[in-house]
Amino acid sequence: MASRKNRRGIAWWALVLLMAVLILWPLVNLEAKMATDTGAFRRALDYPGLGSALVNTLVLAVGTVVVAVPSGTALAWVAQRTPPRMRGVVAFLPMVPLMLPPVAKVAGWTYLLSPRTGVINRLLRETGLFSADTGPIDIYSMTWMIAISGITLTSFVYLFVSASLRQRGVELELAASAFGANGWQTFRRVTLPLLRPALTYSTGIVFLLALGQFTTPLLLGGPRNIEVISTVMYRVASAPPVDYAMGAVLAVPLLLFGVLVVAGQRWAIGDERRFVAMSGPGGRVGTRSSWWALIPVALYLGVAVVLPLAALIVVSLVPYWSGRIDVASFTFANWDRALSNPTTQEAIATTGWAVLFTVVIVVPVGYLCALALVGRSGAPRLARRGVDLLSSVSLSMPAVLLGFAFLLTYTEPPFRLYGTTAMVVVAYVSLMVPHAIRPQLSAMMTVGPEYAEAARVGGAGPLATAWRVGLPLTRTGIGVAASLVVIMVVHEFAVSLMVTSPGRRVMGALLYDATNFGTAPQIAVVALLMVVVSSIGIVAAVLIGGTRSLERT
Amino acid sequence: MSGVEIARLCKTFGGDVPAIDELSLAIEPGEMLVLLGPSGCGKTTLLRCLSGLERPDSGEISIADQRVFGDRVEVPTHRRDLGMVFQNYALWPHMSVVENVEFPLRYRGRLPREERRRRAHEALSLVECEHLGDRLPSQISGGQQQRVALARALVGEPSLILFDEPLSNLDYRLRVQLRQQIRELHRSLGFTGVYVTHDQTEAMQLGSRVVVLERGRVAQVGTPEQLFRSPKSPYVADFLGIDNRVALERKREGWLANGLPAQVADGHGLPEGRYDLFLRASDISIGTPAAMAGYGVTLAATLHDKVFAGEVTEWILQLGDTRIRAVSGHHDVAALVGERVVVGFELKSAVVFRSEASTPY
Repeated sequence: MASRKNRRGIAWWALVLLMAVLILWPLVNLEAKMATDTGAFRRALDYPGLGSALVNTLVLAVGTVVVAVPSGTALAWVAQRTPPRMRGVVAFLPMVPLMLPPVAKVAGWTYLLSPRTGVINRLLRETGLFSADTGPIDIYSMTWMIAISGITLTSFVYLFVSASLRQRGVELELAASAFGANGWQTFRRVTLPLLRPALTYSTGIVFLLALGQFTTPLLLGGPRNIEVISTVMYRVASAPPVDYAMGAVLAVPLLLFGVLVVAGQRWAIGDERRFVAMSGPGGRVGTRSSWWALIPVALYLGVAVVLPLAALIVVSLVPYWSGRIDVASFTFANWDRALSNPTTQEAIATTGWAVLFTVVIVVPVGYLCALALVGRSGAPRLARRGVDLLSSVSLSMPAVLLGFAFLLTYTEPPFRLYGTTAMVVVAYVSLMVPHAIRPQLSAMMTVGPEYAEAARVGGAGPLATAWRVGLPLTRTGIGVAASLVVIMVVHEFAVSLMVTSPGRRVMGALLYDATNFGTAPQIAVVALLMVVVSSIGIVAAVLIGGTRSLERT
Repeated sequence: MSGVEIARLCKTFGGDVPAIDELSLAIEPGEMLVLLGPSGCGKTTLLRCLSGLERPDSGEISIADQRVFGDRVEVPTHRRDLGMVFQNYALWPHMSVVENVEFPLRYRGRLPREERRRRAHEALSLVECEHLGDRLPSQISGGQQQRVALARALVGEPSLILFDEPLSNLDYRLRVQLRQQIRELHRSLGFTGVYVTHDQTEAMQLGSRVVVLERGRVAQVGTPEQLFRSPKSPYVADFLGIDNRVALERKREGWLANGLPAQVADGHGLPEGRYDLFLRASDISIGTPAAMAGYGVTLAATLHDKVFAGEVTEWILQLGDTRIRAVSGHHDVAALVGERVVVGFELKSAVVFRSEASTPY
């Protein structure tokens, strides 16, 4: 029945087409502007401060890698050596920072480290060791931008390296010491070489993320005019009439780099395996453990979560922020004002709807993509490759670049979605497809094909098999995908800023408005509201997907 | 009646080596046909082609007189009316045992819920698992899981039940038990089955007929007795566990076994030439020259090892540059390891091939 086979092939190709429209089309559309406008190249070169922005981008990216990769690796190594009873919890802790919206974290940090009113700066000055009346730490400098983004991305490195360590267990290290290697020799000759794939991969990812990062340079680079490519693109996008052609030229380095990284990954790792969660039994054979190992983990958690969160809470409770904490003056007035403000209410509602619609659309799309990728679904090989390639394109392009392309594509005919929630949702869906694929794919991979085959043999057709066997067995993966998407959408900043109109803000955009026009307590309240909304989303996703979704996120 | 016809089936996975090569086979109704062979011989591929989980490149398959593949027809798996037992059980972990078993009934006619339950419990009692109905698969043992999987395959009374190495994940004792149970169920229910295994004991005990597969082709098909008595090729002999290979040569001046002189009292009229002998371990005796005097063939060997294996003892013998194995229920041969012994066997009990041709003499 050749026709039946073809019909199924067509369905898979429709999926590829959908992904291409979502992800590839806006990029192509944007870069096409460059071809039709020959002056764009000149204008881009003449753009004030472009050279220093390029240099800053590179410095920030390299610096971030230098901070994040060693600290993430060290944390993973240390977490493996915490007492076994604690290991389950400890293993999860370094990922907690990923649940805080980056915007909220950066806002929290400014209350701790801004030169004049930063709490930590004030405390340092009170020691009498520093004479000036500002500083000694300047969070608005390149050094501290690197530190902050390095601390943020440490969690990513931890994620990859600890998965690799867990999967491998400690048997190989024990074997090395059994054959007489001391601690350093074991680390040097066994641990490090075995970690190389994970390190290479996470270095690549962190470099890419750091290169395209937006939140930290926008919020911290602003006061000292430290611009990077992504902030320049944002400035271009927010200065009407938008010079898309010049933006397209500015995007070229980011685009090229993304393509380079995708090609590199493909070359380094096979095409589907990198999606598979690297988890295994592991941890059965004990290694020497120590309570001391908890200290670095606690320290990281304190620096990356507790301090900025505490700062936000305190600032949200004071009438005005001067850097002094006066418990007697604490008030909920800021909260009352924010919550009764229609703009805030609308932004919360828009965010909520956008998150809901995005999850409802992107999780099933991700499920289908994962099904195509898993290889036993009968999707044509080429369609499979298409899905794979398109999802990694979306992964490797900086959000700012995608946001810029979305802005162009969806304000133009035939879409004309500017100012609608639909535009926000379409942008989020395009951005989230790969994140919705990965957990579902790894769930499918661990389940194996026999369950579906047994159902087919038992007389269930393809749909009945998917409904009664496929879906229930990938439930955890679906839950993980949903919670991941919720977290990332609520945290999303770059695209949110670019595709929302002043009349239809999401919370991230609202927070940026507050940093420009509002007071510190207002910013803190919005940041905390973001934390609350994303926590609600996580809880909801966990309820759907079961408790295991969280630890596998 | 519900038999299976396979005609000129071909299947190649990339590369040039076919997994199934122009294979034709007829399975009688009520027969348990065992597909036997080493990994890579195509037995699992053939099973999967029957189930429709794999699409053959060409050829024809009919199940119960209904064409399911070939001639522009391809009936999808779920309409082939099959049961299947998987190597790793494949019980759905999110359904209880009884839900697992009643699953196939959902799609076979419109049975009321109570009727489905009743039949599922009936099938469970066939495999002595009726008390496990409410448990989840993860709460029962491996042997029980495979019994439940068996009940699931039987419950719909399908035209054909496929067994994909169902016992290879179980430990030895369970394997023996379950093998006997499958045998008895087949005898009492009379279903048509295709059973894939690489274990010749399993094949012998379960098969109405056994098909030995070699590189996607049928090497030999027959009842277990026929196969064991007269394997058609060294490959089949070897795979059935007739693995003592002796190179026998008749020259004008006498006989050589593995290059060493041998006494042959009864040459069965073999002309001069080289032969490959395949000897069952139980057909080889060892002892003193006097005790061995009555055997058709006797030759000298060194006792390399003596392995006490409970009911029998194995004698490993060095014969020229190869070793052969004798098995006997007698544990008391008066020879020590390292000593010379005399080996005796009858030429008529050996499977004899001409060396060059590998065809039975």
